[in-house]
Amino acid sequence: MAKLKRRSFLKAGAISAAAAAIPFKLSMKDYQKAIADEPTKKIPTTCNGCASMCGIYAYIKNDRLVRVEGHPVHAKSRGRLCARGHGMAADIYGKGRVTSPMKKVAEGEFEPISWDQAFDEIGEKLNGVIDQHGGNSVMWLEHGVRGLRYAEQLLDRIGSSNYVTHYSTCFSAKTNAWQQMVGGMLNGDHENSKYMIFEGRNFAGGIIPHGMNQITKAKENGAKIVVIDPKYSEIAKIADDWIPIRPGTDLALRLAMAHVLINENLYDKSYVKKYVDGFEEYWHENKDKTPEWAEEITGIAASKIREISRELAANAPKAFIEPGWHGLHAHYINSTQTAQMGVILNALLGNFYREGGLMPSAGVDFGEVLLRDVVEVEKGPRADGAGIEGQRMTVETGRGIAQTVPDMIENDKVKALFVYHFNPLRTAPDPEYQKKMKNAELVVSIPVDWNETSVYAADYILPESYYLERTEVPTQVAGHTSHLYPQISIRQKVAEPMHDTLPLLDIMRGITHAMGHTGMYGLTVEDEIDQMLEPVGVSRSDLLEKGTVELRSNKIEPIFPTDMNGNPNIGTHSGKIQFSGEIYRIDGKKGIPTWVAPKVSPDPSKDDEFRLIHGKQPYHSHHVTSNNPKLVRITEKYNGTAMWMNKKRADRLGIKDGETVTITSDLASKSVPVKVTELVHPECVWISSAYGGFSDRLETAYNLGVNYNDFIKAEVEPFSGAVMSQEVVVKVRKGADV
Amino acid sequence: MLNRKMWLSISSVLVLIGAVGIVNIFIQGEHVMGTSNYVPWGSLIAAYVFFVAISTGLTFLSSLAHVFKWGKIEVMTKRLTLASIVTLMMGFVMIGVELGSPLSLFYILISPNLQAPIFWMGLLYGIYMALHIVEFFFQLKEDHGKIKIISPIVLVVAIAAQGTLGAVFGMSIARGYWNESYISIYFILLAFVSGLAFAILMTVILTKTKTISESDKQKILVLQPIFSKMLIGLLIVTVFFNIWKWFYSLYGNMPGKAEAALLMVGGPLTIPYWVLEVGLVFVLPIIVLFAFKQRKQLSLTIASISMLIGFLAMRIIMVFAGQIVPLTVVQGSESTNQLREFGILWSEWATMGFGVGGTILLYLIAERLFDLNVAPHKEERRKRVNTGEGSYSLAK
Amino acid sequence: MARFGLLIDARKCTGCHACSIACAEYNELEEEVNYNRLEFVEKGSYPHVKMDIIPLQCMHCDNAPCVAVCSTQATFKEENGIVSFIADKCTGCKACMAACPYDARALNEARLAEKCRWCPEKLTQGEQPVCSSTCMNEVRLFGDLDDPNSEINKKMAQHEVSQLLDSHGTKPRIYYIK
Ligand SMILES: Nc1nc2c(c(=O)[nH]1)N[C@H]1C(S)=C(S)[C@@H](COP(=O)(O)OP(=O)(O)OC[C@H]3O[C@@H](n4cnc5c(=O)[nH]c(N)nc54)[C@H](O)[C@@H]3O)O[C@H]1N2
Ligand SMILES: Nc1nc2c(c(=O)[nH]1)N[C@H]1C(S)=C(S)[C@@H](COP(=O)(O)OP(=O)(O)OC[C@H]3O[C@@H](n4cnc5c(=O)[nH]c(N)nc54)[C@H](O)[C@@H]3O)O[C@H]1N2
Ligand code: SF4
Ligand code: SF4
Ligand code: SF4
Ligand code: SF4
Ligand code: SF4
Ligand SMILES: [Mo]
Repeated sequence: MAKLKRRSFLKAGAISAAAAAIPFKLSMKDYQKAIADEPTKKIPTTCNGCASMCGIYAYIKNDRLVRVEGHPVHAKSRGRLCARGHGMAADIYGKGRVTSPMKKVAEGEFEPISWDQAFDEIGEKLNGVIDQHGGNSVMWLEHGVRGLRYAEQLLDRIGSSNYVTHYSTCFSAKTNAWQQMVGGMLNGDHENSKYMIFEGRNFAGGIIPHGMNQITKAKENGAKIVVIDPKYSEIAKIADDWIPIRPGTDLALRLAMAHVLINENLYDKSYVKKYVDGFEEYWHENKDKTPEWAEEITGIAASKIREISRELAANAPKAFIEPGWHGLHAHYINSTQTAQMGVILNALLGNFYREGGLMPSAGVDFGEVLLRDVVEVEKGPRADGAGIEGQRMTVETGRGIAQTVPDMIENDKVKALFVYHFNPLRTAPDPEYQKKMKNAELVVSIPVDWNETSVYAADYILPESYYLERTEVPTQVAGHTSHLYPQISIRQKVAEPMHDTLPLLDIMRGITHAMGHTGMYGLTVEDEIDQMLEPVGVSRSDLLEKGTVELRSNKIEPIFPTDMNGNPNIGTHSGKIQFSGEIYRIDGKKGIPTWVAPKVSPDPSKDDEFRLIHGKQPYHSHHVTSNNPKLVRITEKYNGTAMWMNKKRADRLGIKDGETVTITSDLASKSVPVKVTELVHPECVWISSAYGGFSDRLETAYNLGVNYNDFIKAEVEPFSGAVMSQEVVVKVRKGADV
Repeated sequence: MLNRKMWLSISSVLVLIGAVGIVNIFIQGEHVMGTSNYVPWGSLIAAYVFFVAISTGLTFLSSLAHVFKWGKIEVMTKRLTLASIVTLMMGFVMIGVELGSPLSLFYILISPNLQAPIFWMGLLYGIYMALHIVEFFFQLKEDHGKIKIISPIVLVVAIAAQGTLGAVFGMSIARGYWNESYISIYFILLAFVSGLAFAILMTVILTKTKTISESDKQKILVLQPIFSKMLIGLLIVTVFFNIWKWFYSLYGNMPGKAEAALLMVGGPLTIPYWVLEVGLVFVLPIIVLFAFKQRKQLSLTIASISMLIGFLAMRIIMVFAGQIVPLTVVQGSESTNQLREFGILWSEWATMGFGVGGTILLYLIAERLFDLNVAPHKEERRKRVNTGEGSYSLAK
Repeated sequence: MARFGLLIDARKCTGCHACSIACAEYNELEEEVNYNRLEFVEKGSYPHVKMDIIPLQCMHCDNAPCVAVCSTQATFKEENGIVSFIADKCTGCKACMAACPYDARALNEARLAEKCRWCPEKLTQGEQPVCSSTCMNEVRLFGDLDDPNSEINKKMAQHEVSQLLDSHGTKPRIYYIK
């Protein structure tokens, strides 16, 4: 049934007018009446536009999704959704979806097959691979944690340690460093803060709607906002101060800020004494990192560095340097040290577990789901070397390294590959290299749309049902923002699947049963929900009806966690905040952050050399939304694919606003329109990270703009395994590529 | 050159192609037009103005006989009236295609907005059309008594309609380039000039056809020097108006006006403006009329065709100049850095072609249907009709 | 009878376009049609530079040029201040588009000149229209200008406000915090 568009109202009117020759068209009032008369169901569920998974209400009329609105309770949105949240929902009817299981018949060509055939063939091939190369040769590569609960069961059953997530392309410098130093990640308590520094964190572009709401609220209540970013980002718009920094030098800035705090005795001494381990060592190592020293490196005046450091201290503990997300944490060779400095600066302010400072996420314990047919099989070493001495010892095993999977295939470590909810051909470096994933004996992609990874690397594409078409187990609302009470929310089916698709649980059941493990995945999702909710005290029907529930039970308090003896006890080896990453004490290193220069830098004497930097756009998610016609309409209207270049530099190259220029790195040469502006650091050019689609089955995204991953090699940052996506110097010239 | 069959086929082809364009616009909608949300009015609005202005000008000329008692022009009165009706109808076709839902015009009757220039324009043009047809009917019947009464009314209504059309543009506070108090008068003036240019072309053609008698041809030839003098006179007034407009535009401080004027000096409208508007409407005709005094017919042909093309261009330039300078709602906004895109797509050209072809075709058909000669020749004509030379005639 | 108005605090807008997409979804607009938009103004030179972002939509002018030029009263002013639009009556003449000094109207597939409706069904229930309720920065505040206790009046009293192009005499119903 066609979506009853307003257009069709008007059109129907126009046609009847022509036919009857008596002007009759529905008026706006009739239209509203028509809307009001029709039954509209309002069902709570969660958005999948990005990892925030905001609570939403889906409005359903005549079995069709009409629109979504924000769920008033959900702490990520509190009723306010971003553009993507509104726009993504419509993709349920989008053209880019994979409509049934597909089998590759030739390069880039697929034929639809039945689920049974898909399961049988994949099950058989998988058994073959396992028989020949062992279970450890099977890898599950996914966006991260979303598929974990189901992936894990398979990997455990066949004995594979190779669960790898997207985090190394996102923010593993932070997840690794914070795990080492704080035992987990805390969030800015934005709403209660008096002074916030957003360095490489664009909350208004890398959006969490209610998080941003808390920030503007704080500002209205007098908080000061400082944004340190080579590009005037969306959050710079509301900042009291925008401080452009030479990209890649944030570590120097942070070292100098710590220097001011310590040297001028502005840090919280009693707090540090009580809760910090390794302060002396740190100071010993970094006594020479003065603001003057940093001025040279960062291009920020020493006086400015002193000013913001002093202001931070003056407002502490209701002050912080935002822990950040992607921004600085997968960008440079010094990203891990930069992330470490995020911990150290905040600890010096004494703001961990303090109101207006950094607070943990409020949490609840879900009940354990009792699985059937659990067989323990011994696992081999991780293919990405994470956690293995002599290899990628320092990299978290829970997240791994996503960008070098083709190497692992080449080295015969991986023979069968599952790619779930992840599109490394477009969101990991060097697409030509990533395409080599197809050389594995079996590649199964589980997407919703014809993403590049599916089209160019998969032998089988198993489409998952759209997020509005499936029910999942409940999740906690946690991460990156602060709220006092724990919340749980649930995603539920609001519309019947449009196409021949299945939820992940059913896909896993199908594959494993075909492999002969007929006892696996025996529970229905409802069973799992019931078992999980058991200790929480919320019934399934209750949760399904409410969507998101706030539990008033375990409120989080601004108290530093202690053990029974009153000693600090966060999940680190000393129980305190570590100023050195224990695990980073390798190769003669002290584990303490100190200055590391970026790997590559543009040559200032060359007019055409720039560092290529990137960032989120508020109306796109990574790459996936660039196939959404409504969101891309905004791109078109507001010149969203343009590369930003500083006016002075542009003048030197004779480049004018709106022209086409060509960006060249060792890997690629591509043309984009240019926006000549005062709003970006002269030494870099900035592009939005949303574009550059090359799957021709995603019509809207296809050939729209360029992607930073086109220009960078698949490299591995030595400590956290991140991608180093801005260790690249490009040449820019006037004119289109020929 | 004046072969009737050839004219019929040329005009039919234009009409047929035009019909395809029109159908295309109705089926595909605004996409196939060069308009946008920023430039909502396109070439067909211009074409509408072009045709109805000619119609008004022709009405003025034809009424010279009855209203201003200028006997010499009587020989052309019916033909001028017919041409006026035909061009008016083509004007209606242009606006009809431009409208998204022409049938909704019905609401003009049941919920009119008395404040709206378009309401008055619609009303006046409606009355004008109706009275014009009635006038033509009486002209055919040679009912001079009634013509005397109706003709001045038609003239007044035509001028008023043209004036309100001017107001449709002139009252737009949003568009600096159009927003002028004297624009109505300017429109009326331009209507006279364009009607005159059309009439001159008619005199050239009519004196070469077989449809009228030799004596009438002589009478028409007598009109030519008078017409061209009138033309030159009016052109000079128009030039004066234009200079005035330039002054106003450049120094008047009206938002958007100077920017629009600058489109004609070093902007996208520079060449169209200086070549098509200034060149074809003013320079070429004046040169031709003065320089080739001995080859009167040729120079009149060139001058009038040049002017008609120039007038169409002038209307198009005016319509776009008022819109392609971005409105400055917010000072310094990035969206105002560039001119608004605009264009004329094939369906619109075809529709305009329909107007030209339709004018010729309808005229030719009417020429056959009706007796357009003045009274003394009536007998002669009827004889022709009765002997089967003509097809059939409504004239009694 | 309420007299609706809108107060926009453009200082807080960060240009996320949620308002635009939310409106488009709520009103089921065609892809090419938007009822609201953003204007960007770059001021100053590096590094002392800032960007203004101004959300715009139909101003529901009290002295609306679009109402004045609409021959069939397809566009008309309601008592509550909303400039409404009745699709039946629209001839598609686009005079309103040519007349609107704010570029606030958009032509749809049926060639009718649509515009922001101020979501009367929300306003009359005391709710905010979706462009306002979804905005993470709470940039827009709709309310009843006749009700002295309304949020909008309270906020207007606290700030200096201005209107866009008030020199045109359009008397817009949208106020911007200076
Ligand atoms: N709209 C939108 N929101 C999202 C997402 C999305 O895709 N779209 N994704 C979600 C996810 S998964 C993530 S990880 C977050 C990401 O959220 P953020 O980390 O805030 O996003 P980014 O835009 O990647 O990076 C932030 C800023 O870092 C700046 N930057 C680049 N290089 C440097 C540098 O050398 N120094 C400094 N100081 N700054 C630098 C960029 O200019 C950019 O403005 O957003 C989340 N929310
Ligand atoms: N070019 C580019 N690269 C990036 C980034 C960027 O902004 N641009 N951001 C970096 C960051 S911060 C991150 S977090 C990563 C994100 O990396 P990805 O997770 O790869 O990013 P997305 O573009 O969101 O792609 C998600 C893919 O998941 C699939 N998908 C979407 N919904 C569903 C679903 O419900 N079920 C299933 N099974 N599949 C689904 C879609 O097919 C889509 O191709 O990318 C990193 N790399
Ligand atoms: S931030 Fe936006 S896209 Fe992400 S989950 Fe929330 S509403 Fe959806
Ligand atoms: S939703 Fe709010 S912050 Fe976003 S663009 Fe609209 S007004 Fe600005
Ligand atoms: S802003 Fe434009 S469309 Fe809205 S009422 Fe005013 S003139 Fe009319
Ligand atoms: S386009 Fe419709 S609403 Fe606009 S003026 Fe014409 S009839 Fe009125
Ligand atoms: S008030 Fe309603 S119609 Fe107007 S922009 Fe907001 S959501 Fe759209
Ligand atoms: Mo991310």
